[in-house]
Amino acid sequence: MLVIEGLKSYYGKIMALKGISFNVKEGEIISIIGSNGAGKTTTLRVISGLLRDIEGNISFMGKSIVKFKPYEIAKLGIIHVPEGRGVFPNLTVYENLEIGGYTIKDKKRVKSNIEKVYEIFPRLLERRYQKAGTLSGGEQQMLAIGRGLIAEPKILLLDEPSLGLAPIVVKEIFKVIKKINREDKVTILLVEQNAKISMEISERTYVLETGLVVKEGISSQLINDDFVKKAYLGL
Amino acid sequence: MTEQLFNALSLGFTYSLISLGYSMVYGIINLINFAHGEFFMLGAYAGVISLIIGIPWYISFFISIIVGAFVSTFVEVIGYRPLREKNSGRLTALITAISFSLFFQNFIFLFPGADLIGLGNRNPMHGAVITVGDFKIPLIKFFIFVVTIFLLILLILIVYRTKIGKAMRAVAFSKDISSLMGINPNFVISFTFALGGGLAGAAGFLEALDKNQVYNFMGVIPGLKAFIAAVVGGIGSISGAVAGGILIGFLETISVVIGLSFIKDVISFVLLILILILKPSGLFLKTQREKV
Repeated sequence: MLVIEGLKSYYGKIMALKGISFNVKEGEIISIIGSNGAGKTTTLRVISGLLRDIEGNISFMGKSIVKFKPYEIAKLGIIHVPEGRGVFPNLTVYENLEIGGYTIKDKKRVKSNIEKVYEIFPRLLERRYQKAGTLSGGEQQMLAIGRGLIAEPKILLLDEPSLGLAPIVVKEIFKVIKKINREDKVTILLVEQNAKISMEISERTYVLETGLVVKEGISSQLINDDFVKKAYLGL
Repeated sequence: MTEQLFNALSLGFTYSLISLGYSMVYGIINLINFAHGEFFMLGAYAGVISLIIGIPWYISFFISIIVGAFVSTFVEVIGYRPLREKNSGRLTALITAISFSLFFQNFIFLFPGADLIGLGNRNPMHGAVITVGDFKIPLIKFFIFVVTIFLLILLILIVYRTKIGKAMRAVAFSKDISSLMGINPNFVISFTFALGGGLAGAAGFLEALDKNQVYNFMGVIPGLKAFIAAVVGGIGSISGAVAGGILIGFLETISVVIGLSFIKDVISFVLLILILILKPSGLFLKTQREKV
């Protein structure tokens, strides 16, 4: 579904991604793990078109998207849920969700998608008239994911959904991610520092270190790999 | 008193209409669009020329709005957008804005010419008064009052109730994140310029009817004062721009009423200096401001 080949990216003269290749098949959850500065967020920003100083190829459903603008990529169904507080703090929860459905012309469909998101995250229903900036970190993360779902994504790119959240909230959110994948058939590319929980819910994992894929494989096998255990699971 | 109240309000509302464009554009791309006063001037010219060639006033008014909106969008698309895409700094954009301003002021020398144009009896409201109790209010002052209220309600509905309005507020927070929602930030930015330019064009038409004449530098002082109104109210905020405009309108009218008309033009600049020293975020801004 999504194929990345020999991807390099630059911030000015600094090379952030040094030629990475990976792929995501339809219906999968793929995780990319790595520490700070490994290039995880950069990878997602390149796929969604926010960074365009790149070499290599990205293709989605057989079509190269490297020339596309971010809003065109979003229209293809590649929805990037940005890191941390990527919600619009100056808009209410409901308006944030509405904006998530910006590309959908049919208002009724947006409404019914919002209802579905309220079922997944009842907390958002309670807070629907509140400005998103007044939500807690966990609620903002729920809103960011929920907003991504309104657009009926083919693939959801999740950037560090566990960042800064209490362990119990992290568990709740990952349960939902799994559920979205199984029940709504949304393919998921998950980028995480929290290696354990992301390997637990994903089929395959890529390990990123300073802009290179240093290891890849089936998550359930990789979780027992000595190198991964030592470097990322603290065992 | 009632006459002076309407004087102050109509003056203040004219500033508010111009000020909104400064504020919205600043809110969305952090640019002080110093060419904005010229959209007011060009709107006024368009309206006056339409009136003179015999087009009914309500269509002329519409033409003023369209010309203001069109020129504003034009400046954004050929001037600011290429700069934004090359990531050139804010100073470059500011210099571009001033260049556009000078260009439009001098363009008028070519067409329709350097002389000021009077409306005379082509002015549909010339000399007309309405009587409220014992008071006589010039019809135009009342008209400015009604039209501005109408335009403000329309603007608020657009910004807070429509899809494009929500997109404006989203882009004001972050162009990157809103583009992830499938929003084309450039389209939304151009739309914002069109809205601001249209309001400035409307203000230009009203001013032309009020003063009964147009000239090429007519946008300079009102433009500056509207900019001050935006800063005083808290730039980036819609209600702030309106409040700032009204405040300046009242201060100027009061200065005339108490016999200090020589400070009329100075007063807004003094106000600007005071605000910048005492409360740089603006008078009417709450702690969490909403940029548009």
